[in-house]
Amino acid sequence: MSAKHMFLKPGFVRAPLQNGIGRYVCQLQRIVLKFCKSNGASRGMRDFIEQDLVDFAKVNPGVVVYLKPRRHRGPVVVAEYLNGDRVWMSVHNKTHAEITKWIEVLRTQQGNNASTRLRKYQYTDHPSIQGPWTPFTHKLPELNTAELPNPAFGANNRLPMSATEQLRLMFEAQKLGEKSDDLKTAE
Amino acid sequence: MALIRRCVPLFAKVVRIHPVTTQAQKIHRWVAPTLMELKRREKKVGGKKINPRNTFLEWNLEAELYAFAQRLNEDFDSDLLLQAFTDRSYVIKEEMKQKELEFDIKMKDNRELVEIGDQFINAYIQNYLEVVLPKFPMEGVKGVRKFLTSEAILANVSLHLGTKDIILAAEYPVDNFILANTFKAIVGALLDSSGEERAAHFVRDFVITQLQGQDVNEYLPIEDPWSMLTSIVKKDGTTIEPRLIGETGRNTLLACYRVGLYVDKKMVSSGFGESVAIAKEMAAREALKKIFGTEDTMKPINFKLDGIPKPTSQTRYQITAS
Amino acid sequence: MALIRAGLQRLANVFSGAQAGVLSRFATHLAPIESKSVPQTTKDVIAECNNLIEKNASRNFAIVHLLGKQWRVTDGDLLVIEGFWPPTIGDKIKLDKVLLAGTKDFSLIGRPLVQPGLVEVIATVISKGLSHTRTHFKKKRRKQYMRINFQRAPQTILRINSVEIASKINEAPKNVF
Repeated sequence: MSAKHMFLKPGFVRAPLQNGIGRYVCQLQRIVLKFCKSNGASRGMRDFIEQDLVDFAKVNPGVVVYLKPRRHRGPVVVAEYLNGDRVWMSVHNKTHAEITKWIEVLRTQQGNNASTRLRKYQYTDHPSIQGPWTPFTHKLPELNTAELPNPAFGANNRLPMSATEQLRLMFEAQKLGEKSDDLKTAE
Repeated sequence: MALIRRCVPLFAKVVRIHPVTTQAQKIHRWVAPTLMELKRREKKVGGKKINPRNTFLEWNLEAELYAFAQRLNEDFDSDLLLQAFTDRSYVIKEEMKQKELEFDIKMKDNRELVEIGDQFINAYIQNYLEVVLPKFPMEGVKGVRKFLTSEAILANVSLHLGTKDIILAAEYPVDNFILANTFKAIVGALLDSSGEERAAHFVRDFVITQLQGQDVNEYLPIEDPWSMLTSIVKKDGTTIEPRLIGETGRNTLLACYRVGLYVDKKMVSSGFGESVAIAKEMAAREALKKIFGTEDTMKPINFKLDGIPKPTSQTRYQITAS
Repeated sequence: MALIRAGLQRLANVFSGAQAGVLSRFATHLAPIESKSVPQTTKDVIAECNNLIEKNASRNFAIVHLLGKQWRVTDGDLLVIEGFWPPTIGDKIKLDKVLLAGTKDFSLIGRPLVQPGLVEVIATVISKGLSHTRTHFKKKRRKQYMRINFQRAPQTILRINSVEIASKINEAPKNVF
């Protein structure tokens, strides 16, 4: 059982026919309930048919429900979807409550979800609205005409002042007291 | 059973090739060869045979037609709906059959409805696009309309509305032409049974929404964007000036240039390219998109317009030169 | 209250010019930053953003918080939400926890949420099903320990219908909850 699931077809999230943008269309097209009238394995299915089926058909007029009694064969639900998927499910020995839940799942899903492993959980046609970053984003226009290397653009002004530089400045300032010469910094 | 009996010599052969010793794990070595042989035979016969859904025991055409209308939340006249699903090929086939059995029941095919539906779809989509893309040139609007009313798109819509199994046609599975025709006929039937507005909303919800995620500029072929842009700008009495505003990797394989277009020393658009000429062309395309109101960050196309929209735009640019 | 971060003074200058010609409307005025006082700048930026909201000319996006995860959404997106979630197929819902919203030209950053009612994100539930079967296999060698479990998680697929900035920035908050 496990090996079958390890090599699932991978896929991406898609909605058939851009569903949900215009009007919403329930994707379950028809559902076939196959059961036996006497076998114990079909007990839950028979209960479901007796108690809930009419309500189900009333609430979902867009789903065609077929009943197919067959002698001495296991109960089966087959769901067909608008995108062409067909889900076959054995409901052998399942109780009424379990069958109700499974049929709800079959009704609300949009195709055979179990057959693909989703690789992404989001889909967008517009990955960037304010524009992707490029090396030219926020670049100074003056750089285009500048002759490089240029001290105006090439100066390293990101580091704090070093101790040596500080000392040198202090020394120069001290000298300034003696001689009135103009001050020269490294920059 | 017969199949198994036929496969028996094959197993024997397999067994002869791989003498089976006692295996600790029960590895079914016969599975793959058997499947391969079955596949080979299926291919020889000519592929898998697909049985039409409407020949199944669990099939009720009336219920299917009722559910079809309910699913789409529309009121169809049931006779018209059945007529919309009847293809010409089916009527011909039935008439031949009836001739043999010597009786005569008249059947209507959907050719008239297709005609009505086709006209309505084209006219409505044209109007709708003119309203939601008010500045886009007419050629572009026509291109988008052609895309939306193409056989492939309409067939896809038709298929996803669940018409594939219901269509009465001579062949199964039906081809794209019949699928698209059926969709047009359904619109025609809806037009007759529920009126123009419902039909319009139907087309809007299922056909026009196919534009979601599409770039409308792709449907407006522009051969020379630069000359188109200059001709448009000339009408307004201004000039446009391209400037190289960035470059990297000159004289390498990965060269990249960026060209900006300026009007009155103000940048209006920019484009990238591996050569200056391409970058200029891309910048011109970008500027044209801005003029046509279809840039990448445009307001999403409105898929919720009610009724049948009336185009009233005068600001549309005429393309004369190209 | 949303904190507005935009291309501050630059943005205040955008669209202010009114020259002749088709393209002048689209010109991005990359004028040098003027030296204005901070309160004046703030006012200008807010006024400009409100102007842009009124024009409503670009695609919007928002970051919404949904079942413990944050999603960047824009019109027409599809989201897959895992885990139990009550809404059923066909429901139209409004996603209220908006952490950030933006248009092409500016972003509104909430701290932590933008003002209730400022941004309206509408979504439709289009599918509720189960994921593929995930196999949880654990084994320790030579320890006689092996566990294998199979599970399928409930998955809801959402279609984002629209992301709209519904009211102006700095307006008195409407009591929407």
